[in-house]
Amino acid sequence: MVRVQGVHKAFGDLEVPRGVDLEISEAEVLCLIGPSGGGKSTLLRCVNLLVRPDRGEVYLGDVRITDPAIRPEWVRQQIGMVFQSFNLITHLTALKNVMLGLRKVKKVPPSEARARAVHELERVGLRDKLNAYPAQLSGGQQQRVAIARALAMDPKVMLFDEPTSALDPEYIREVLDVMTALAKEGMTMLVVTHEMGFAKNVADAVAFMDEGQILEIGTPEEMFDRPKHERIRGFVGKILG
Amino acid sequence: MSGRVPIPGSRRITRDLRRALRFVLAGLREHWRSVVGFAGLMMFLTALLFFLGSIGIVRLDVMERQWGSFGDPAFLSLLLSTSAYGCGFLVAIPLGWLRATGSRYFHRGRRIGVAVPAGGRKGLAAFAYGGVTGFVEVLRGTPIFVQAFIWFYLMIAVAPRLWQVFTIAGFLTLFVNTSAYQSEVFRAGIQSVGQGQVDAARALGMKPRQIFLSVTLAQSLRLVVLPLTNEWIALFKASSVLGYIAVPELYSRALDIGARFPIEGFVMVGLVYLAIIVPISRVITYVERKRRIPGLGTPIDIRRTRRTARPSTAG
Amino acid sequence: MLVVLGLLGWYNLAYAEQIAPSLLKGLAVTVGLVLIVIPIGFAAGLLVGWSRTSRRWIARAVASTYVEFFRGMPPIVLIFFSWLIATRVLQFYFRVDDPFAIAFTFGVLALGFHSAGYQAEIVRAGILSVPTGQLEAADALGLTPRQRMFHVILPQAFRISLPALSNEFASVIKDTSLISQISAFELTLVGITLVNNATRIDLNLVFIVWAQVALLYLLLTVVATRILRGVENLFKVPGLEAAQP
Repeated sequence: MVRVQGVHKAFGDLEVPRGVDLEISEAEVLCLIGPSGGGKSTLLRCVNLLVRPDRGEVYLGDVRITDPAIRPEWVRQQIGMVFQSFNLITHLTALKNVMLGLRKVKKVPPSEARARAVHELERVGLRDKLNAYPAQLSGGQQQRVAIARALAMDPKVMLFDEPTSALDPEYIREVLDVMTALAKEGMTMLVVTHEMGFAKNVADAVAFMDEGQILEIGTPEEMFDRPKHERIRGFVGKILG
Repeated sequence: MSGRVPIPGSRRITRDLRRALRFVLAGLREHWRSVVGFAGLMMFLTALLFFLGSIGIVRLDVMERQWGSFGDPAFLSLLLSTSAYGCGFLVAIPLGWLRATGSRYFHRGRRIGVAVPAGGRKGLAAFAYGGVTGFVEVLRGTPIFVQAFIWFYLMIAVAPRLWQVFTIAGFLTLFVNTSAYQSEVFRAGIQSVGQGQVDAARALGMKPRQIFLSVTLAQSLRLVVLPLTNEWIALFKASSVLGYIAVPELYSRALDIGARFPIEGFVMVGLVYLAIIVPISRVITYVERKRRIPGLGTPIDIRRTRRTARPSTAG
Repeated sequence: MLVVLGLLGWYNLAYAEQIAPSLLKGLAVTVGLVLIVIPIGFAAGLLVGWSRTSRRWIARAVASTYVEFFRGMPPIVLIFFSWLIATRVLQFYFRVDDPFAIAFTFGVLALGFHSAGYQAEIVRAGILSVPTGQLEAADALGLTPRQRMFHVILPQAFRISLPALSNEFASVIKDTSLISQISAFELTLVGITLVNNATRIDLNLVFIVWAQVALLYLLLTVVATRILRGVENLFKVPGLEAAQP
């Protein structure tokens, strides 16, 4: 479904990611783990073209989305993204936030958009917070709205950039539950996370990324119990131990 | 890191000068684009001027002859602005403090970041606060132009034979006006210092005056610098209205020359103002960006603010 | 504080009553001027401020030059100069009749553009203060840059700039006093005229005139600020105040 080939991106002197190849099949959940600064977030952003790779190609299905002729907006309609800092539009209610993509990008008429938005918010368990503003919501609730917002677009792929890293511990659970349910429903997901429990239980594959390169990729069991690289062992040990 | 290499054997002054020079050069090197841009703008304006001159709208010979007469008035403008600014600065600190602390008696329950000596001076403090507030509000709510006239007539009524009476009137206008604005700046700066720090200082056993000097004032200094520098520029521009109360400053040259050669006069005066203000504000922006004084946020030039730049407002 | 002000003007009530109508007429003119200048300044300021944040180098350069130019000179110079251009140049070369209206318009335009210089900076600061995360989110949803500008950036930039903008409007109110010098019969010029008459009668009357003028300007400024604070409340997003650091 998503194929990344030889992607390079440099920011000044810093070059991460560096020559990354990755492939995610449909309905697969892939977790990207590794130390900060390893280029995971950048790689994620290359998939929905928030960042354009300097070299390499990205494919969505059969389409080479790195083709300059393709409009990034079209790509992003197919891919949903959830951010570490939620990034809800502060002057819009939860409902309006979810409706935003539907109304403006997909040009869905208001009543239909509203119905869909309500449905998505119910799906993430926030039916009673429709008219609340982001500032009135807890972190966990905001993140769930963000997920609803992305889901409302019927994406083929969902990208998660450390979705729980900015949350108070008490709220992490609720977001992970939503993500787990989503995975069970068969969504293709690429998740950058430090939540090893989630990776272990929900992911179909786990990739370890450091210094711009993917060191190893395999099933959760392989990665956590029998990692080949020393560095991975150290990293996993530090997080879990 | 720009040169921190100790220079053994040099005298302190030379070393400081050298450091300053390196700072300036580094700045120029970094911002060569804006320097070139500025030069380009000047060249463009000069070319424009010559062009206009050639088709007879602007008479360059007149301009050439009149350049010399700009020195003294410009100097007077700068002198007036700066001295009024300086005096205003000194007066504004206590005024700002009064506004910051006195409000406790006026608006109960509002938190202020200053340790006020305990003890009931309620009556006097409230009165002082009201008076200062009224003073500040009036001065900031009325045009400088009007204020200039008021002082003008005041001086005539009081001491018509005084030497340089108009210039003194002008000075008073600027002085009193800037005191009001600067006191607001200081008030905001003082109030922005968190209550927590003051509490900590009090817990240490420091006396109120000590607290004010070392904690509050020192902290507010950073927040206060940007609005204050903008205030100087604003004051300098405001000094232009003094030309209408017979003060022989820069703008009045435009009026004088303008009697016979209006366009040339104003063009020249405009250029002089630009030549003074633009480099200064660029330097300010540069220094502020380089030093990146935390809490000043984005460089908003809030002109003579009613509510002075609260650092948390933007960014 | 308003109490302090109320004390002014009680000196010679008879005279005060006498000059009141002309003063109020002047006030009306001033208000009219303000209502013209502010929209001009806002429109231009919006344009220039937005250009200052543009990705295109040329837009930024032009906008920066504009800002530096219009803030580098006292407004009186700009006003007078544009008035001169209007009367001399236009009259000379284009034989326009009714030079007064044209000159006056130019003066007002000058003040408008001057204010725009400041408003541009305010707008720019507002635009820059929208958290970049929201811009990313907007992009990720598939919004075009223009959509993003309209629906995400501008509403928030506007809301954030309101306090600074109300300062600027107060400044505009005060700068209209300068238009008195190009013969518009706004409040200050009325004051000057009255004073010239008053000096013949009794010097002390002069102060009544100025006190009244000052009072009126103050009233104007206070009212304007109150109105804008109301607007600020309109745009307040619930919960945001407490949430801001």
